[in-house]
Amino acid sequence: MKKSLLSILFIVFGCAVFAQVDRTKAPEPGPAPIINLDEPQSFTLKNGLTVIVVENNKLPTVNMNLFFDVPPFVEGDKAGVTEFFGSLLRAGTENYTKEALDEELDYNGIDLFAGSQSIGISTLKKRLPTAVSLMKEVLFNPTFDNQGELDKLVTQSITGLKSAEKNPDAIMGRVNAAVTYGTDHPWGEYATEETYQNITLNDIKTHYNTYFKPNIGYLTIVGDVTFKEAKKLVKKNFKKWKPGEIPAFEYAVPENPGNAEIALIDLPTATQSNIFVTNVQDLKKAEGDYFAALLGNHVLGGSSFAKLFLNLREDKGYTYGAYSSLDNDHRMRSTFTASAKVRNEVTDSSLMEFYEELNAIVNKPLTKEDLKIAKSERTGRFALGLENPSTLATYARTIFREDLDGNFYSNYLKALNDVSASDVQKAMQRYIKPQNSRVFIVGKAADILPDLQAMGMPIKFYDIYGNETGDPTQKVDVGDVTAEAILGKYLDAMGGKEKLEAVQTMHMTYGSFIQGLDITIDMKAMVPNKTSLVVSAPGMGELQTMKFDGTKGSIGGMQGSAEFDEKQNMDTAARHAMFPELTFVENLENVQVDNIVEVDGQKAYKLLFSLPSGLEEERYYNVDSGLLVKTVTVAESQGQQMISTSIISDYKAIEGIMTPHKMVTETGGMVIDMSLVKGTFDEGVTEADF
Amino acid sequence: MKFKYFLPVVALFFAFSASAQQVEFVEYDLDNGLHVILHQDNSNPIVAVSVLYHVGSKNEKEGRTGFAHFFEHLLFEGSENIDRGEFDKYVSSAGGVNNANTSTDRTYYYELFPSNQLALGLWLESERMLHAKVDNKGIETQREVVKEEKRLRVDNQPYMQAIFTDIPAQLYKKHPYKHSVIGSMEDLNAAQEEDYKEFYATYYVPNNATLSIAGDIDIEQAKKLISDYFSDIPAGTTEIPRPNVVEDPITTQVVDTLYDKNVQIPAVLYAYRTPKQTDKDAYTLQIISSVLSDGQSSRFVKNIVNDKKLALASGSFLNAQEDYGSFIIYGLINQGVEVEELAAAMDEEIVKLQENGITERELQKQINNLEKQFIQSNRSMAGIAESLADYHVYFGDANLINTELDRYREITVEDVKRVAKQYLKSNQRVSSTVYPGDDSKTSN
Repeated sequence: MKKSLLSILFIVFGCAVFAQVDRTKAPEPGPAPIINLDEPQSFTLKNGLTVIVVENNKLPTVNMNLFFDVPPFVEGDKAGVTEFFGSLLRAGTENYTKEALDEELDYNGIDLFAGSQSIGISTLKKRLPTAVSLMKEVLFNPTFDNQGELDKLVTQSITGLKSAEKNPDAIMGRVNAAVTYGTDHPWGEYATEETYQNITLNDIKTHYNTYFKPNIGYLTIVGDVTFKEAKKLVKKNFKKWKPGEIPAFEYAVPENPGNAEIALIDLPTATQSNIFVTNVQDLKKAEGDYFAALLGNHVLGGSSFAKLFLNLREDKGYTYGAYSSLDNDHRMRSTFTASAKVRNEVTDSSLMEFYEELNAIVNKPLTKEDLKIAKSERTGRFALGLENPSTLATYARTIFREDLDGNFYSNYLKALNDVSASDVQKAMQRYIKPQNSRVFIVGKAADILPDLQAMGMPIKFYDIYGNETGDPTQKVDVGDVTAEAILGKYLDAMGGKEKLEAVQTMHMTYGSFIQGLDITIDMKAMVPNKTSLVVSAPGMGELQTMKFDGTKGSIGGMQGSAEFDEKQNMDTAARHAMFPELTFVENLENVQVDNIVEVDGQKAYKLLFSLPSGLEEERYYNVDSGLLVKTVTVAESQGQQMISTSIISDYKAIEGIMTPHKMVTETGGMVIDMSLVKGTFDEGVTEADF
Repeated sequence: MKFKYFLPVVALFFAFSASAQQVEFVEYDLDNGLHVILHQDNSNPIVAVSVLYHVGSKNEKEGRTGFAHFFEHLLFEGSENIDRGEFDKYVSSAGGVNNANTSTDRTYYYELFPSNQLALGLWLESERMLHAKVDNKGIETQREVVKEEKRLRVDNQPYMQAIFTDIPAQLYKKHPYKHSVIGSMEDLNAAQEEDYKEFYATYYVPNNATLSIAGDIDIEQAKKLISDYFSDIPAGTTEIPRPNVVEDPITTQVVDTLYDKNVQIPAVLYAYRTPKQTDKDAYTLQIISSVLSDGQSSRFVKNIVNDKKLALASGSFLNAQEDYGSFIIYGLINQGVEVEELAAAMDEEIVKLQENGITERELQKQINNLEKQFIQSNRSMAGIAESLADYHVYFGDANLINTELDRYREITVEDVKRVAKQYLKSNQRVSSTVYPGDDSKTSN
C-alpha cells in the first residue's frame, strides 16, 4: 500500500557526502568588494544646459536622457496636462506625422520616450546620429496639432477614473495627498473628469513653452561615447537653444496634527481596510542623519524580513504584506508612511500593532544583529544598483539638483557603515511621529468604526475626494416625514398612482458599452409580477437572460444557467413587475425611513424595505423631486452576498409616465452605464416573453 | 608611404574588435557531469550565480502534470543544513536577490549578489542539488502557493486558459507539450512520497545541470570554490528520460469555440505547430512574427488595428521550444465588428505574406531591431549567465551568445515567403475563438 501524503513527515533527498568544506553553516563572505564609482564628467553650456557623461563601452549602445528640473506647480482646473504631455509631444512634428515618426524609429531600432519633464532615446551607437536627429525633431519642432490623440487620451483617462471609482488604492492616494498637503498644493491636487475635459492642445503647448528650457535641463549621456565625442555632439545640437525664465512658486507648508488622529474614508463595498499611518517630515539627503534614517526605516518596514512584516503578516496573519517608507525631498516636506491592507475585522488590532512597532523603533535602540543585517542589505542594494551605468548618471544629476556634497555617493557605503544604533534611534525620533500621525483608513465604516472609536483616538471623516464630512454611519434627523408620504410623493411624481396601476406591460431597451462591446439590455415586464431581462451584443447573440414567469425564475446565457432559489422566487413574486412602490405602499409595516443622505450631490431619503425572504433592499428618493434616484439590492447565491448598486437619473415622461433615461449599475466590480434607447408601455409584450 | 597607413589600419582593427563586444567565457565539466560556464567581468562588484536543470513540464509523467514547477517551489524549502524558510533569508541578508522559473523545457534558479558572496551562492545551490529537504508542512504550504499562482496567472487572466491549456491540447496529441506548465491541481494532490524522491533522484543531478556564473570573479578562485562545493555531489544513476515523440501532422483545420469568464472582449486565435527552436525555419518564423506585430509600424498593428480598426489589439508571437514550437496569431475584436470580419482580415495578412513575401526594407528593419535586442540582452550579468546556460543546453553552443545574430542575417526574403507558405497553412492550424462566458461550456 502506498503511503498517503499526510503520513510523510520528512522527505530527505539524496545521501550523505563527506564534503571538502564545512557544509553545516553558510560560508563567510569575502572582503567587502571595492565599489567602482567613477565620477561622471560634466560641463554646462552657456544657455544653462548641464551635461553629464558616463562613458561605458561594455555594449555598443547609447542612452540620452534630457531631464527638466521643473518645479512642482499647481495645475488647478487643468489637472492632467502633465499626464498627457509626453504622448502629445511625440504625436507629430513639422517634418513627420506620428505614423512617419513611428516607422522611422522602428526601422532604426530606436526607442524614444517622452514625458512632462523629460525626453530621451536609447539606440545602438552606430545609429546615434539618426537617433539624435529624431530626438531633436521631437524636442524642437513639435506641432501640438494632433487633436485625435488628445481626444483619445481624455477618453482613456476618464474611463480610467470611472473604473477606479471604488478602488481603495486610488481613493487612498487621492485623499491622503489632498488632506496632508491641501488641494492647492502641487502634491495635493488631483485630476477629475472636468479637469481632463478642460485641457486643450494650447495648454500642452504652454507647458512646453514654459518648461522645456535648457537652463533647467540636465542631459545625461550614458554608453559607448567618449567625453570628447559627447561634448562635440552636444555643442553641435544644443548650443543655439535659447534659455527662458522659469516661474518660481511658493508652497504651503504641511503640518502634522497636534495629536494623532484617524482620517476615515467610508467605502461601503470594501472587504479590506487600507491603512496608512503617516506624518510629514523634513528628511533630506543633505541632512547628517540621512543614512541613520534610511537604516531605521529599513529595519521597521523596508523588506519582507522587517518588523512590520514579521509582526502583521508572519505572526498575526492580518495581511499579505506590511511595509513602511520614509521619503525625502530637497524642496519640501515629504512623508513617512507605514501601510498594510488588512481584513475588516482586524482593523483596530492592526492599528495597535502598527503603533507597537512605531513606538518601539522610536523608543528602543536597534539590536546589533538588526543593524548589521540592515547595513548588509542596503550595501547589497547599492552595489547591485550600480550594474546599470545610468545609475551613475542619475547620482551625478542628484548631486547637482540637490546641491549635495560631491562625495555623497562615493562615501555612501562608509556613511552607512558608520551609523550606530543610537544614531538610528535619534533619527527615528526626528522623522517618525506616532503621537502626531494621521491614520488614513479606507474601509467599510459601518463595520470598523465601533472598534476604532473604542481606541479613543479622535476620528475625522472624509469622502472619497478628500472633503471632510460628518460620520457616515450617523443618521440625520429625518423629522416626522413618513414612509407613506415619501412613497406617495414618488407615485405622484411618476405620473400618479392611478395611471401607474393602469399599465399592463412595459418594454425598455437600454444601450451600453462595456469593455469594447456594444451591449443591448432589453427589459420587459407584465402585471402582476412577470419580468424579463435579455443582454445581447451584435454578432454574439444573447449574452445573458433573466426571466421570471410569475412563480419561478431562471438565469441563462454564456455564464451558464441556473434557477432562482426559493428566496429570489419569493421576493420577485411578491412585488409589482414595474413599480414595486405600488406593492410597498400597501405594506407600510415593511418600510422604514432610515436617513437623509446625499446622492449625486442632492439630498435623498433612504428607505429600507424588508422583503419576504428576510433580505433588505435600500431605495433612495430625492427630497425635492420625490423621484427614485438610487437602489441597493442584495442577492445571495451559495452563501455569497452580491451587492448591486444603481444610480438612476435623467427622468423624462413617456406617455405621461416618468421614465429614467440613464442608469449606472455597479455589481461585482463591473460598472454598466445604460442609456435608454426606446421605451414603451402597453405595446407588443406578450405572455410568451416570460 | 606604406607606413602612413599602417597606424590607422591597426587602430581600425582594434576599434572593430572592441565594438564587437565579445562575451568571453570558459566552460568545463566536473567528473560528476556538472557543466560549468564562467564569465568574468570585474567592472562592477556583483556576481550572478545560476543553475539550469534540464527538466521542465515535458518530462512529467502522465498523471503528474505540474510537477516540475511544483518542485521548483519545494526546492526553496531548505536542505539538510538550511532550515525551512532560511533559504531566502540567507540571500536577502547578504544583500542579494534570488528567484527561479520553470518552463516546458527547463527549471532555472538564480541569485544575484555582491561579489564577495560568491561562496554563499555556491553553498546554497550545492545544498539544493545535494540534499534538499522538504517536510509535510512545506509541501502543504507550497501547494497553496502554487494554487494561488495558478489563480493569479491563469484562472483569473483573460485568454490564458486558451493559450496555456486549450491550444496546446489541440496542437499536440502525443507530445507532453499538450499539458500546461502549471499542470493540474488534482495531479499535485495525488503525488506520493516516491514521486518526489524519484523526480529529485532523476533530474536534480549534476549531470543534468549547468552552473553558469557571470560577474566579478577570479576564474581560478571560482573553479576552486566550485570544486569544493559541487565535486562530491554524486552523479545520477538512472538514465535521464527525454521525450522522443513525433507528432502526426495536422492536415485539417481544428476549429475551437472557447468560453472564458475573465474575458470581456472576444478574441480570434490561430495557432500553428512549428519546428524545434534550433531549426533555421524557427529563426525565420521569429522574423515573420516581428514583421506582423513588432512596433506601431508593423503590418497587423498598422493595417488591422490602426487603419481598419477591426481589432483593439492584434499581433503574433513565436513560442520557441526544444522539440516543437508554436506560432500564435491573435486579434481582440473591436466594438461593432463581427468575428468573421476580423478573422478574414487576419487571413488576408497571412496570404499576403505567403504570396508577396516581404520587402528588403522590412527584412532589414527586423535585423536592425534584433541586433539591438540581442546586444541589450547582454547588458546585465544575470542576462549573460542565463543566455550562456541556455545556448549551451538547448543549442549545444554557448558561443551563440556572440554569433546568433549571424543566423538571422542569413535569412533572405525568399526564406520568409517559403516558411510562411510551409508552416502557416490554414489546414495545419488550430483556429480558436474565445468568447466571454462560463468555461464549462467550452466545446472542442
